[in-house]
Amino acid sequence: MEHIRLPKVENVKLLDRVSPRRSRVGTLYLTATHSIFVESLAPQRRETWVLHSLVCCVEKQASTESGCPLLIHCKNFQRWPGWKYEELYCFSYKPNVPEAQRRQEWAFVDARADYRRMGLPNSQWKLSSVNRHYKVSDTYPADLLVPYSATPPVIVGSSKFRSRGRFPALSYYCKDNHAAICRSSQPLSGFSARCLEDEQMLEAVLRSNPHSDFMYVVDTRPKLNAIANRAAGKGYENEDNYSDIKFQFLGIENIHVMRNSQQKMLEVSELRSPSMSDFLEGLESSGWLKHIKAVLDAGIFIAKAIAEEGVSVLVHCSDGWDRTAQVCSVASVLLDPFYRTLRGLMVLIEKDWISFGHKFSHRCSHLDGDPKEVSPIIDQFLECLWQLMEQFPCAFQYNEKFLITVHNHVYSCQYGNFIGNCQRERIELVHEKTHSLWSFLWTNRADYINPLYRPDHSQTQGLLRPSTAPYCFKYVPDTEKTDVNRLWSHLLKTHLN
Amino acid sequence: MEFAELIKTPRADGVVLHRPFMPNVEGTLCLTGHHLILSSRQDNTEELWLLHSNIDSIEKRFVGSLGSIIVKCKDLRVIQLDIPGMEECLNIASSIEALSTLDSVSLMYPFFYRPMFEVLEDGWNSFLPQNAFKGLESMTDEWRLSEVNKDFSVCSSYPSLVVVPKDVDDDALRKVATFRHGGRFPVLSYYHSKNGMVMMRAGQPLAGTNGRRCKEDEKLINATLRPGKRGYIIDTRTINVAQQAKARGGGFESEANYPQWRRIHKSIERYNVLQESLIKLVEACNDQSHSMDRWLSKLEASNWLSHVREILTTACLAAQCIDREGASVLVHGTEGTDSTLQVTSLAQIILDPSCRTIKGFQRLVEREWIQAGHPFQQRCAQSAYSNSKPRHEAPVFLLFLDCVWQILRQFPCSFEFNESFLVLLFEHAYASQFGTFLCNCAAERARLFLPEKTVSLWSWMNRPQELEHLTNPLYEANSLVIWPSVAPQSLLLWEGVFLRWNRSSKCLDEAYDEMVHIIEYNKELQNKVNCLRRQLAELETDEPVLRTP
Repeated sequence: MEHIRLPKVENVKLLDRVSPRRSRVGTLYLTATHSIFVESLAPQRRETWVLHSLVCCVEKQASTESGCPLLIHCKNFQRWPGWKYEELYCFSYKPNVPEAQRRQEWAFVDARADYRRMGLPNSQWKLSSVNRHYKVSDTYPADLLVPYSATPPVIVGSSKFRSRGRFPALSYYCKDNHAAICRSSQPLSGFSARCLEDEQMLEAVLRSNPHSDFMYVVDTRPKLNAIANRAAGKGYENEDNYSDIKFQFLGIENIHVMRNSQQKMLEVSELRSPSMSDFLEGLESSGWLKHIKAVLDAGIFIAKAIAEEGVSVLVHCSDGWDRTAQVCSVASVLLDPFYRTLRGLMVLIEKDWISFGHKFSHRCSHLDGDPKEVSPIIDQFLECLWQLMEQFPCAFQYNEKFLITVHNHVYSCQYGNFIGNCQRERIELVHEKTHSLWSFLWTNRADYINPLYRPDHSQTQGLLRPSTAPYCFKYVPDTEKTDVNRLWSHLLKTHLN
Repeated sequence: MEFAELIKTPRADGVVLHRPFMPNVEGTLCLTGHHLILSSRQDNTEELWLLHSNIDSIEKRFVGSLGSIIVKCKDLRVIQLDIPGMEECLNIASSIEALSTLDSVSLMYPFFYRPMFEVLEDGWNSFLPQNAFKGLESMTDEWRLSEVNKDFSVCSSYPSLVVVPKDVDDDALRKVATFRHGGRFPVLSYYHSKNGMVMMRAGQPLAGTNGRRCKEDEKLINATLRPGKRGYIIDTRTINVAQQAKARGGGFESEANYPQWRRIHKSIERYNVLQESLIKLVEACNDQSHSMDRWLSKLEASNWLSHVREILTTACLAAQCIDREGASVLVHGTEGTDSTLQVTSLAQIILDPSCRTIKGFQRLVEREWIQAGHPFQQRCAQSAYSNSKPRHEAPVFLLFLDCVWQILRQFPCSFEFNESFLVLLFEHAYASQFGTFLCNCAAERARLFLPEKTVSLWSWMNRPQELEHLTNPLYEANSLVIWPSVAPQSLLLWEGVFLRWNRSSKCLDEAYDEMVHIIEYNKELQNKVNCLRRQLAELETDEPVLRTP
């Protein structure tokens, strides 16, 4: 509280950057966690809450006749210095919920239940306890599905030949044709190294799909990056050493390129009165949509291999927690209508992102850390979903607001879900003390339902086949569609009552 | 002239039609005076009926004795016809070329078309100026309907009836006409009933290099100002272009002669630049091989969205002067038949809720475009695929529709019509069985007896079975002024026109149907609720006995 010298300021003007006409006058309150602006003139007294952990920097500009302008930048992925996990908002966020119920919140989404939904374990795939204590790979989850024939020595051997011990494990299984998406990190193949167990592991993955005599190994990186990694003793699979694999590069850029791209994109959106050409040139040179297209194209490649060819796919990038997470989850959404439901998307993020060790705290800069670790990887996944929703408006149970809410809370640190960088860290940290976003979202699901969604609709069924012609991609979603949003929420409420 | 002379091969069998996202059709190709018809002659298959006037250009290709004609249409569709036989193919191609470039208006299809539907209301009489004036009269007595142009001699591109300030007599109008480009003296375009301010439009003043002035012109436009008030002149050209116009006898209103007016220059491009922009945009949209970078750079280089933005910005400015500043406005460019009309009509959509209804929008198009003398015949003679050097062609009206679509997208509940309505107007402006968009001005239309000899688009459109597809299910009358955002990220490519033939719209159409379904279902339930409520009220008042236990 000693930081708050002035808890309340009256007669503050909130300026709308796009249209200055829409500025609002009200009172600004400062609390330990939020800055709150309450409109004073309008009849409904609209409130604007800004979580302090979402603020990236504050710019004090020169005074003018009407006052001293403060420019607050949000969600900008820069450092917020000097915080420990314990200081994050989720550890002080205490809604009025009994402890028993808080515990239940964490049971709401369960990755294991999703494997059961896929029909696993079965005669081809088993639940392995090899990583129970995070000993084989400290960034992997405790529960993993591996081919039935993969013995612990093979798994451990394979993990020693993979970056950070991230051996091939199942991400998605297609009940109908037994094809599976597996994920891992890059092999430590260097220029010539081999590993018998790793070759056996891939063979086991291939054999677990009885209808196919080969499998794809997909390296989501650009070929040049993968080749460069060989010099550091890493790299990619040599087709000659593994039986019946088809190897493929998919050319998605690394986290540093993505971070710069987003930075440029933000600069474009912050230009003062840009011309149409300024905007389009900026959009092009940021490369943002190019990268979104690359991720979506990669997802489509994998989804088609599974659904149309019935061939299993092993996906990796470098460490297998950024591009691999993006691509596996995009492919899952394209393949399985379940992931296009509210609950399904929660499960998917829980499984492919949270449990498989996407480094949320690093990537989303929850704490003071290395700025080179920050990158909008999950943002790109959510944008891919948004682009898909624009093409298939009836196929998704959730709406744009759901994606935006998830996106906000990935950064807000109000809930424990995204705190930490892997399951091992998270179990210790959050389940005992914080609340889960998923049950909050589920309780408020009426806000997040897409009214056009019909489970029985033809475009809802089966594989989605989006077009990725460049002109099918839209610019950043605009949330200005208040006109129609209000109408939908009105209609929905009448229906639900 | 007989059409038969132009048709050497009227019929060919075994022709295969290729269309994007649709199965190929094999059948018989027939050429008539106005149509290219392809029919598989089987039940339940769709026939292709293509107006020759819709064909923008064709290309021929030969592989052995199999010829292909690639037909590029003004509505931006591209289809391919495979025709067995070299000679047949050549004959058909030359016939299409001749029939799609007929010079004489009176040979156009609308003069031959007979309606197959019952006309409920003759569209030619739906929007007569004298009726529109009655509405104005009920609000103000400061304006009169002048017949000064009844034989089109004062201004050849104006209609016979125009609305002018009451205090200005016809003799003065004749003098002013000599001082304005094309005789287009200032006339009333819009009366803002909220504050009594007006928007007028005209051609450029013929000031020339020696600064000619015309007292009557000054008096005319000053007559629209309240005592002590200033008005705005919006010149759609940059100050440089307007200066250069002086050398050719044109120019702008000088501060000295028009001290009560503030002049603002904008930069809406002229027709040849716009035509080039359209050609570049369509080329970019049709190239499937682009990478993201190349697509975005071509989209940018076409400048189409910049034109959309400049027009919308200028319209917002005009609307702002009227609604916010409480000032009257005069809009002109050079001729006053293109950018001027874009600005005045869009400003009305922003300001006037009645222009956002179906009838109101038709009235706006009729009044601010057709009767106001936008040269449709010249501007829409060719579209994006034309090989010939453009003369007077330009997508001026298409840009206007694009701007309307941008506003519609930003205010999806404030318009009674939907996107299909706008697309339909685009199609009919370029090729139609109806006479509505024929000719360049009212004088030409009268000379050819269009109302007597052709059917109006509005006659066909304003029937329940057509309106059903054109009505926006989300519409809720909004009596407010609507301010569109003109920030670059708010302006999108109009997919419904430019990507219409390049992608499947199946999923989007399904979503639209679903939306209609939900809204209808909601209405149904609402009616049930109301009905039950009424019953309940009746029971409560009629039979108090029931309420006692």
